[in-house]
Amino acid sequence: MKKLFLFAISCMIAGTSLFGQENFITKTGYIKFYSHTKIEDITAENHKVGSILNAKSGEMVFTLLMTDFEFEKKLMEEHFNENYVESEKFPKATFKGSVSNNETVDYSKPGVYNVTVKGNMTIHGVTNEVSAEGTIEVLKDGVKANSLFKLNPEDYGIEIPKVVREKIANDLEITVDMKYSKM
Amino acid sequence: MTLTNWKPGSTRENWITKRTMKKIVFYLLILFISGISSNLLMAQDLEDLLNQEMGEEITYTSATFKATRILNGHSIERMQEGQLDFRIHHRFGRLNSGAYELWGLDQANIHLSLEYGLKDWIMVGVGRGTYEKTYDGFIKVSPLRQSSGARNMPVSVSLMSGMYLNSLKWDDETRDYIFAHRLEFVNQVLVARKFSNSLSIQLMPTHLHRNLVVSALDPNDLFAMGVGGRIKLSNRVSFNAEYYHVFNQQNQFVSTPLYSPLAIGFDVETGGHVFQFVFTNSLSMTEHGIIGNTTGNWLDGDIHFGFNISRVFAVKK
Repeated sequence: MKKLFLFAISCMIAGTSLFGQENFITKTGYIKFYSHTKIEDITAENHKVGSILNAKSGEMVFTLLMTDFEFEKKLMEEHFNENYVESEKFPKATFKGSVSNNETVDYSKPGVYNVTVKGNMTIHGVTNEVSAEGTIEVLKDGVKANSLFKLNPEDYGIEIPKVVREKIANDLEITVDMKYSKM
Repeated sequence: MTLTNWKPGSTRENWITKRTMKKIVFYLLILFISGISSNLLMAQDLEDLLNQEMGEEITYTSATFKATRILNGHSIERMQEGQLDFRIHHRFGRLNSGAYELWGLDQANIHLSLEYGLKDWIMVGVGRGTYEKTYDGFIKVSPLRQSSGARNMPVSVSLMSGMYLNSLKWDDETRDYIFAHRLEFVNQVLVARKFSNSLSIQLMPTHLHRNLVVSALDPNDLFAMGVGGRIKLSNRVSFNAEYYHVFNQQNQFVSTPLYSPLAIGFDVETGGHVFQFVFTNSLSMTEHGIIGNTTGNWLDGDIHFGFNISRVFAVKK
């Protein structure tokens, strides 16, 4: 009976760890947004993005705190949180979606694969369906994911007053740089 | 195992297969169940899994006040690391001074200062004001920040310590003054809570020490309790008020009566600037003069209109 019990336990552990290897995780992902106008260039960086990628299904989830975006000008950072994205009301931004051509990525073979990611992005309490091109790079010890896409803050109900309209680009350039390791 | 259980009379081969079959089925069943359970773990929503992995974070309250001053006195806010604030404070004469003085606009009192965030929790500043030709310096540290989430802290606390040097020529050159007679010191504990996005309240117990006072009957040490707050009228405009109750203000025999300072006004924020429009009964724009020497009486219309301009530069990237 004891042997049986041990066998069952070891089966379960082996089972979970085997299946578990399909998930890749990072808690220190990098997302930057960049706004370019003739008057002013604005950059904000977030080094604390959390994300999980499921290699089997291609599912991807992202979460980040708006207050973790760092600006060069601290006053700008304060205005960003207080007046634009209203971080106290909407602390998180999330993305939930999947790699639509996940079957073309061989997670057991190191290399760079071009992918398209589709899903729902929620910022400032507003959810939009988005699609972005990017790459998945399979490494020996993990997976890297990169993407560059455009985002219009007004799609997410973020109001930009006329006074500063000239200083903030209509389309922000979003850079995503994630380095996942096995979960 | 099977050998020891073998009994004479039964067919050995038959017995083994039956028992072993049962066992194999049993083990397979366990394998199957454990497989399902691990699959169930897998199927757990990725989003929940991520949230669980990320844990709960500390959310610090920001922008309790728009500026490092409520109006006349300090708020709990600091300049953050590497940020330089150039402040111009200006007060006109009294509104009740009449048309000849254009209701005070002919008189100008100014205080200029440069203030810098050494770290996110410590700032220093130096300034010069018209009132008593004061040179001043202060240091402000913030040991506690209001937060929620993984750590719950109901209030933000800052400590402000300032030194003020009166550089006026002495009235009476025949007396033996020493340098120390020019100095006054202020220590404040600032405790604030941002109750909601629009309402913040601050309490500021204050101690003022003056090395030299007007008469022997005047106390060298003054104690005051300040209360201030702001109500946001929009994302960019807020209504502010600030009052210090001075407990042992003056000996009543001095010729000029002193009052507790009250200021009301508005913050208007435009990109890199914060403008503050002020109505107050004190002429001085630094703590020692506000608390120790406010000669205006609101009820008589001894009100100074004025403004503060704050321009912040990111010095260190």
